Amino acid sequence: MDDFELHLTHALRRQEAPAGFADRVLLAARARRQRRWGWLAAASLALMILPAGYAYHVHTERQRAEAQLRLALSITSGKLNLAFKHLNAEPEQP
Amino acid sequence: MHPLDLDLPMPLEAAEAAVPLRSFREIVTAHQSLVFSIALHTLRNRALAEEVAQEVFLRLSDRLGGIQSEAHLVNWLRTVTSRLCIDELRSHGRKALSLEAVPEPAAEPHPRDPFLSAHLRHLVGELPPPVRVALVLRYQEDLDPSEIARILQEPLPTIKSRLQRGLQALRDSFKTLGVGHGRL
Repeated sequence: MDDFELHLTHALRRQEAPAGFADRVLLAARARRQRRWGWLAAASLALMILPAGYAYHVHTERQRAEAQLRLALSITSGKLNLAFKHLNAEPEQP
Repeated sequence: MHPLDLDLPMPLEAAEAAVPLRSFREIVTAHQSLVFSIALHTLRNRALAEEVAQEVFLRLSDRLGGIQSEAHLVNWLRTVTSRLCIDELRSHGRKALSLEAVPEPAAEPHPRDPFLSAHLRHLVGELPPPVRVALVLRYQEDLDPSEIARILQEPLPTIKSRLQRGLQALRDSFKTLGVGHGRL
């Protein structure tokens, strides 16, 4: 190593990290870990909510369909009763 | 228990891997100078160097379990820091300092001359990023070309050529500016 390289070695020697650097790294690492846990919790919640929401949707659709079916049967029953009354009615005397 | 729990030892699997049982804080404290200096000498910007150094340690915190020894740790830190610095320089296309902006040093440089050292650091900052990183690893970390080639994942002849070209460019700049009356 010649003089120039010795100068270069001295110029590029290690420098001290800024004061408090390690503390800032640890805080940032902790914040990153908390963010990850936050995402994980949100994802878990979404995984629980989505099936429950779908089940509720299926349940309400079924109730609506049942109500429509009851109404349709009730209308049909009324019409059939009317037709039955007409068929069993006494013919009018001329 | 997580390795980031301050002042607590690493979990068993990480502790077995990393030979000495150390907390993450101890690892950061022990190696912050290495990481920060590579970033500072390469990027020539203290705030940016700190940002990159912080990112290096954050990445380390995710990979502590995979670190097998102290030598592995140091090698990992040098590798990741060098790559992040090159990426940073490439992505932001940071302009190197112009030679005109560098104050001319006084004659008769002394190895401990702070003015000469500052001048040399400025000149290193003028070099292309891959050459700069190779020089920093060579003269800051005292690595030989084969170790630098391994860290930067480049062929050995490429690294030797970069070191030669970088050194020659620095010597030429010094001659041009008449530093040390051509003694260097």
